[in-house]
Amino acid sequence: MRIEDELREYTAQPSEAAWERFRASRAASGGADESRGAAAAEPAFGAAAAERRPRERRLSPLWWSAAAGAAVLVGALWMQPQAPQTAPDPGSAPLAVPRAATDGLSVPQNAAQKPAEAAEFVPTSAPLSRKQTTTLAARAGAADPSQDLVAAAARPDLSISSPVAELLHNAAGGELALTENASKGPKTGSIGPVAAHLRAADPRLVEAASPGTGWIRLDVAWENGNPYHWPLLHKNEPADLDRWGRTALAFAQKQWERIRSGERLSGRLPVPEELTVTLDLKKVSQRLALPPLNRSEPHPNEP
Amino acid sequence: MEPFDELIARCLRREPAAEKLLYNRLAPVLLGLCRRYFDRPEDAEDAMIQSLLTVFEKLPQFRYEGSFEGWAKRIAVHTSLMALRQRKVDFSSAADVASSDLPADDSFDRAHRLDALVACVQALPHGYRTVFNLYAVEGYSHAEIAQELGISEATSKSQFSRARARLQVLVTDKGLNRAD
Repeated sequence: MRIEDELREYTAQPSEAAWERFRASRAASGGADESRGAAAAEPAFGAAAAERRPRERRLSPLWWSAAAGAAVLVGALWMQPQAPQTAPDPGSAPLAVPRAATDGLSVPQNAAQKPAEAAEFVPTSAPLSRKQTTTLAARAGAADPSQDLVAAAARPDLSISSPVAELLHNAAGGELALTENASKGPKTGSIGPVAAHLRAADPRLVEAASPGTGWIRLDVAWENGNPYHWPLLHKNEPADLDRWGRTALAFAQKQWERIRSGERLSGRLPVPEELTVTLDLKKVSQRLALPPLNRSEPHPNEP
Repeated sequence: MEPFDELIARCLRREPAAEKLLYNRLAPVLLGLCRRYFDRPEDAEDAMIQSLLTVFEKLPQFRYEGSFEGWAKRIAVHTSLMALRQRKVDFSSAADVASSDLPADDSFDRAHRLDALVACVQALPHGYRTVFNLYAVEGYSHAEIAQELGISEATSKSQFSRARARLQVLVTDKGLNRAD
């Protein structure tokens, strides 16, 4: 078979976030979206949509006015019980409620809340609980990318055959996650936060001669809730595991530095707020040819 | 597997499940195509998503006169070329891309062979790569390529010739030219 023919047949599996991005874009442009309920039954294409959209545009100022009015009313009602009976102190400031206080994870919202020179890492020595992991993923707007990972790690019949797999097994309950205000962080450093974080997780990943096989995936969550994933393309190279590890880490570090420098990733995406580095145990376990999961039990992700 | 015709009809009725099915069928094909045009995976995925958005947007215009997948692929090619043009890629240049990330060893199994071939294509300079893809893989003529990329027909021919030679070297270096 000629190379051209082989290339013609080449397919690649998109990342999990691609569907979410596609669906969000479709919804924004008037396409089908399950979450819109009855409105989704209306046709998106052709004359009907063309007729509907101008009408929506005409009505939208009314809706916005009504919504603003309702918000002011609700705000006034909410503030009323908290108003002091005596005259307020003119120097008092309104109470600020940290956004991250509800999810149990300390997520700095801006540079003033943490030292600018250090990224705040979620300590991997204390893996996140399943609930926390889910919360983290939910905050990123993703459909819990760690489900497979956690489920695989929890399986008693999953044998571990390499130090890296063991590390991944230990870290599987908690994503190797780091958060920081990307646009305000320093632009240079001797070792990038990704590599530093991986080193903190286990020095073998960075310093050992054979960092192991598998994939490292970068999950980036934008402020608007659209997640984006980079499945690193560096495949398992049994003959040169060291090169694989170094290349994967260099890629991860490069991407992270681009994010921190405020460079737009694809020319139109905004700077993200958070970056999560995920060691994808599922893929690693496949490449390590670990025993297959017992399919007699339903997989947690299956309905 | 549900035929494309039925899927299209369901998508036109705005059934979300059908859209997901159609996405699942097309996305790997279009991403594979876009990967050949971009050296960075995130760029390829952006182009794939944009292509799929266009496919769904233009779905009512599909005339059932040929392969639906072929129609979608043509949209993906145009979307990729448009993205490259927006980046002011010089299609007549032979400047190397920033980095070529070819696998180091020659011990590829069949599962990795295609990935390695695509990596070789991605390692070509933008101009070589685009002309090679359009001519050798998509089947465009040099006249069509010249018109599409705004270059002369002679340039297209020479770019293809050089691309093929460079690719042959890369493929040979990596031990990928066994025809099995």
